[in-house]
Amino acid sequence: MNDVTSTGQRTNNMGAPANTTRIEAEHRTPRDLAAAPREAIAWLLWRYARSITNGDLDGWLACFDSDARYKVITDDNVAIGGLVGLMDDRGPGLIDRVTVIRDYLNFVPQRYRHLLWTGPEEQVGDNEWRVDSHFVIFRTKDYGVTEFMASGEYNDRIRITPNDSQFTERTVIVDAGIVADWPYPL
Amino acid sequence: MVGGGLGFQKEGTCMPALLEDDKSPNKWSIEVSNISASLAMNRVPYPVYTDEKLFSREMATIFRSGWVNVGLSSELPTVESYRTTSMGSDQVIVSRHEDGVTVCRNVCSHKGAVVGREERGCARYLTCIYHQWKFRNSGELSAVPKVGSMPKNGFQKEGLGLEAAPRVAEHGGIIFASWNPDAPPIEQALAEAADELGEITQGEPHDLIGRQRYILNANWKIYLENAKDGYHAGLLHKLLPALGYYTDTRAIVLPNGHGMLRWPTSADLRTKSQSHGRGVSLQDYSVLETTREGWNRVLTIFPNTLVSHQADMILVRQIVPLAVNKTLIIQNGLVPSSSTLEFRERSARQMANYQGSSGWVGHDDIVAMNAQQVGMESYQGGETYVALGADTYCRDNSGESEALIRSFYDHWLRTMGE
Repeated sequence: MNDVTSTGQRTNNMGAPANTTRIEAEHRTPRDLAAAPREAIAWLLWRYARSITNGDLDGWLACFDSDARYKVITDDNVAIGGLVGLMDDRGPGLIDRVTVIRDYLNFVPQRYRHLLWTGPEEQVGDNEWRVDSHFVIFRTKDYGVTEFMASGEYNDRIRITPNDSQFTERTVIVDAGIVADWPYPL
Repeated sequence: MVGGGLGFQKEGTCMPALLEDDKSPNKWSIEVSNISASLAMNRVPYPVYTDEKLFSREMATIFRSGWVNVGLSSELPTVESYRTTSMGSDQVIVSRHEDGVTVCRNVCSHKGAVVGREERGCARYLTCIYHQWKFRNSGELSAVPKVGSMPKNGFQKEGLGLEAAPRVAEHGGIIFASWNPDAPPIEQALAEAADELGEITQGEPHDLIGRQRYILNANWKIYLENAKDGYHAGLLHKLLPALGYYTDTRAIVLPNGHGMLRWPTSADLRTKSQSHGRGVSLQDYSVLETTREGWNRVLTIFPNTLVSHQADMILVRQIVPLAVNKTLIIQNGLVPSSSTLEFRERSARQMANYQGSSGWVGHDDIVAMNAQQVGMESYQGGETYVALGADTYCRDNSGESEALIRSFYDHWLRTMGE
């Protein structure tokens, strides 16, 4: 859903300028995802990053299975076996995250950009795959300076069906132990 | 008591005298003695949050004369475990050994390099990388290379250990230390805050289940103020009143600059949000709910501790001032040691999604506090206005009172003037 600001500028759910149309035209959905798992995974990773960049929170939510788990945690917590993350959603909790970001959190317009390096996929079930990716995210706040925001690793479990690919689990391990105010999912 | 004491005077205007700083002509400094007049009018001059000289004085007085939070007992689970942190501007090593906990300066007595370079570890000895001076984790100098070439008169290992804080105490799972040998016993300094801490911990041992660390681009007192400010809770955090979560709150003034916000726990938030809320519904209420009956508490302990017991999460925050406008927040999550894995995961999820730096409440606090610092730095002649509830001031105030902020500055001013 896009909104119009007091200055008449069209924005997306995150307050960033909408450029969905241009990017929609660029992506291609594989015709049979199950027959091409590598392509199905790449398509999901692209959809995920694109939805965050565009502030398309519904698109972000659609990347997850209805029972999925999404967790962002710093590497220092992982190292000590800590349970506490930065974001920790299960199933319906993902919907709440969208509701809270969209209707309740306070933040200036900002846009994230992801760079990804994806490793080889490993089949772990009939239609489930495991894949890890390294990421770097840049953030531009309020049309100002672009800054490095985070680096780390995605540990994903992905279910691939003929028509769709979705995360059943996405764990985002952030390298930095000291973080900042991040309103959106990483 | 200062300027009418805890009662504070009613509204008025009295701008403190500003002094031009000789070294930085574009900056303004302010004398502590001039601040009391503003506080008496329920105002805090902006330089209290922005002036570097004042910040240095805080580090030299507040963080050296009284008790300072340097971490949790559960962060040092075994003998020889240690962590490095700060007491104000002083780098320290906090370590557990056979005789208890020691806090010593993390500065090599040879040439001043930090000795413990990692944030935590487990070691009987710590060695400075530069010239390999070796210290016990309790601070005593153990070995020095080329010791035979040191002067026969004058070199004594006993006098070259890492300076140890003369007072260290563990209370309620928190490690406090003081550079002041004459500091009162910790129980006396905590006063009624010790009772509230006891209510939270129930005397049980607790396990550390993880932590968050984040940088606040604001003065350390702004962080404390935010935790004492029930006024903002239902306004900045729009979700809470929408759910009917933050109701019947009290702001309770405690001695020695401590304070507490307290409100009833919510066992069935889904039902409560339908009767008291504003038509908002969540899919998963477990982020805020608890089966625990009693109180949610946000307890602030002067000068750098915040203990929050909300829903099923106990958070202990160590507030570490890094600069006049930069503060490190270390937020540790605790659960009773007897907790099940299910409870631990629930508590961790609450901490992440509610109180964390990306949480439904925690995120907005950071954004608001950062904005406050930016505004204050742009207007050195300004003052805050924290008069809410001043006419009805007492020990137990409405939650939407700024009484805790005012009582904090009474104690702050007394400590700064010592």
